[in-house]
Amino acid sequence: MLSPRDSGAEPVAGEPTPKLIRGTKAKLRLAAASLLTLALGGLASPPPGPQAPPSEKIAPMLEAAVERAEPSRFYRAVQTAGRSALDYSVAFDAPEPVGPLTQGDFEVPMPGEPKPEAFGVLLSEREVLTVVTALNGRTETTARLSDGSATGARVLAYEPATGLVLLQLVPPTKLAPAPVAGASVSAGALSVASARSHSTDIVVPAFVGAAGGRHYTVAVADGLLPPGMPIYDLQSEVFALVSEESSRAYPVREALERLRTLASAGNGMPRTIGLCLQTVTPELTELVGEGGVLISDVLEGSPAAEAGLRAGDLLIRVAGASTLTPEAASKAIASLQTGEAAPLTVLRSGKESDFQVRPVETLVSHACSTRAEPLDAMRAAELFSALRLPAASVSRDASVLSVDGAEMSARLLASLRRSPSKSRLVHVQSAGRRLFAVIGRKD
Amino acid sequence: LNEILSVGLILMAALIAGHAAQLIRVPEVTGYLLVGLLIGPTALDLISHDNLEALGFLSEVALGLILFSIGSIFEASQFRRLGRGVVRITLFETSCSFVLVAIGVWAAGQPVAVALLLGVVAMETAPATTLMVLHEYDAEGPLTDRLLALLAMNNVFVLVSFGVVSAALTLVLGAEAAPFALGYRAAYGLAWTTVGSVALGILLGLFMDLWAGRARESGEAMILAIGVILVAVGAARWLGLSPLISTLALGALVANASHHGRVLLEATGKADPPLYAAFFVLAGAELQLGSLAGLGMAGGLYVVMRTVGKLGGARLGMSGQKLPPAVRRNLGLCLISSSSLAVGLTIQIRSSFPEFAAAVTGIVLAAVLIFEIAGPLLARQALLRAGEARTSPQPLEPLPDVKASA
Repeated sequence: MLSPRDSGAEPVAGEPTPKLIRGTKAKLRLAAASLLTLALGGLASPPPGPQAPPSEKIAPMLEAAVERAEPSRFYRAVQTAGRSALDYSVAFDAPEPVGPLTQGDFEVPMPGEPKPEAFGVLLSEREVLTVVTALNGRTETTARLSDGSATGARVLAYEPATGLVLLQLVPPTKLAPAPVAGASVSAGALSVASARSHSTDIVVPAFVGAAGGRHYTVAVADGLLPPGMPIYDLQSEVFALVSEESSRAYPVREALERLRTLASAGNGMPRTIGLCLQTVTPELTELVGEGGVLISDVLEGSPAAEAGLRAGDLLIRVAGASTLTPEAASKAIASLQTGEAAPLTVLRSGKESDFQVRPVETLVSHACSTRAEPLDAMRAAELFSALRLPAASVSRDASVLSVDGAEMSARLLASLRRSPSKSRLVHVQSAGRRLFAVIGRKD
Repeated sequence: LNEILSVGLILMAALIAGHAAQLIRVPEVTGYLLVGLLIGPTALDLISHDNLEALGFLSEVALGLILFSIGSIFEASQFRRLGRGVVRITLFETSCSFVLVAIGVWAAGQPVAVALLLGVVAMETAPATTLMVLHEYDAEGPLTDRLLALLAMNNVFVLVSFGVVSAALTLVLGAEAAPFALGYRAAYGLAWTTVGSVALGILLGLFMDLWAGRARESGEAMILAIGVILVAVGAARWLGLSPLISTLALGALVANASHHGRVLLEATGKADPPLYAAFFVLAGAELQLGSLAGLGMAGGLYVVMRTVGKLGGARLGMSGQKLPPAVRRNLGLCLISSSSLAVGLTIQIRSSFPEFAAAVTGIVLAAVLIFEIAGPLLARQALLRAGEARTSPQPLEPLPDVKASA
């Protein structure tokens, strides 16, 4: 029906036109070439991106791997490698968060309970690689080295995406730094987690569950790896450092390169003003306006909160640069100078207004997802069922903080019930993160 | 509604819409799309989102059939005659749309990545819609010949360019990961979707040719053709290849290697009217009227720049070529429609670049609504002006038989 015409060169019936590909041989060759292409393509396919095995599978995988490697010989190797790696260990007390962006209540440790600790690894006479947990918002700390000495350490560079921190020891130490493994380690490799803690030496076999890509998945047979725990191969060369999430470890060699680059470029310390941002989706446009990004949360005590910014404001400019995406806004904020007031322009109730904000340097990571769950808030599921609305884009377990700017209350709910299908802007909190969403629109 | 009822309803609606369209002298496709819009989730909601999702495979099958028939444009003798000129026009119209849209969107304040992605999406011309208009008016002539070849080239170009742009963006944006692995993954993806898809199409095409020699009756040819096309679409999805390029390559191989190509094409032709009708009604149902509200400055520029790019680019590409004035004046108008591939690309963008998806999707959905309605109308106008449309559409051949038996 939709056959295209060969206008002009209509073939004469019974006398087929010569074809480009003629004869069985040519066709066979073509078929072989195609098969070969597909086969080669299949073989050359890159390994799938980093995908961690589910955590419940790791312990049996570790046991199986140990069994394959002859248990006694393996444990001997682990002990030897782990013991000599203890010399490179660095430990930190990991106190509760302090500083301008902290939230939540203080936790009072029970007497006799071991103090929370974080670890790191000595990589040169003045450099230590660790995770941000070791600092908890401060830019300086005290590092305990393997010989028991304590020395000052200050942040050279911090990488928010991984939570890794490069510290500078002041004064430098005379201890020998850990050798860094040259090649990356493959999945299934046996390795050892080793560090000198307050009370004991930790030397445990660790298992690399998945490798390749940007991080390793590592696990020990029972329990969790503490943050910043260095992972060594059986030659006592360090290859990975456990992140804040205990099953994920980042390759040390690459991390060191990235952090050194950051430090030498003068971008070691990220600047923040305490805003959490959200893209304005087409549904949100009608209710919050357009031309900017939505401020989904303002952290208490942060420079932004002090300046008077509020969740629900539409951030349209940072120091004169327009901010259409959260990325653009974060970039503009990151380029502000520490302590110098910069104007932020927001749209609030349809009116533009300027706020002067002074950025601070901070190491509190993931601050946007660390809100304590409100105790007596209404769940989104309850709101949906009260208004007889289909579950919208909001998670059903989310807590509803406000609707159209008004705090949730019985009176508000009654008035919402009167016109349930009107579209409304709800401010919700889910998994520690606050967001805006639209409910009630019927399509 | 359950799926069977919704398919039935879709076909009935298409039937009415087709007649109504002839009455008010607009292309049938426009009728199908509008009726789809009417019964779809944006308006009457007779066809719900769930129905659309469940029937998505129908659209893929129809697109496979359409591209199979477009692929036969690449028949060597035909292509030698038109090829170089058409490649040139395609190059110009796609790159003009790309550049103008990217600049326009960027000037409207969107990030560079969004501008580039939208630029690629703007390159696309809907093969199905355009082909349907050509067919409805039984178009014939130099404009039609070139247009068919252009459609095929355009879609291959778009897919390759999308691969290049997304590979480049992945490399630039993913600065923190190992660049070699990323680069390899990006280059592999591009090579695999193009070369691999062509290989799959060729392989299946050779099988089709082999078996066609044994087919004794047209029913058997129909089973063979449709079966292989379905395998091509399905296997391409399974292997992570492009169903679009695979079916194009399949059509091209059959045209170039088999003496049974015509038989096979006619066989699929008998099966496809209901599929195509369903395809366009479904496409209409997926259009979102509400999206127009979110068009904004960037979206407006996207629509204007793409139109200018298509018309101007086609003009530029044709300059210096010996072409009848009818072609020169009207070819650009036939390139306006934009549909399934554009939407398909936004779905890919959603998974590869989630950070830009909101901006891209909003604009593309609104623009597709505009172009999908305007495209067939402009194409019809162009065909009439070029004198290549035989305006009275021929009645469908099997219709008298049906009447007689009823």
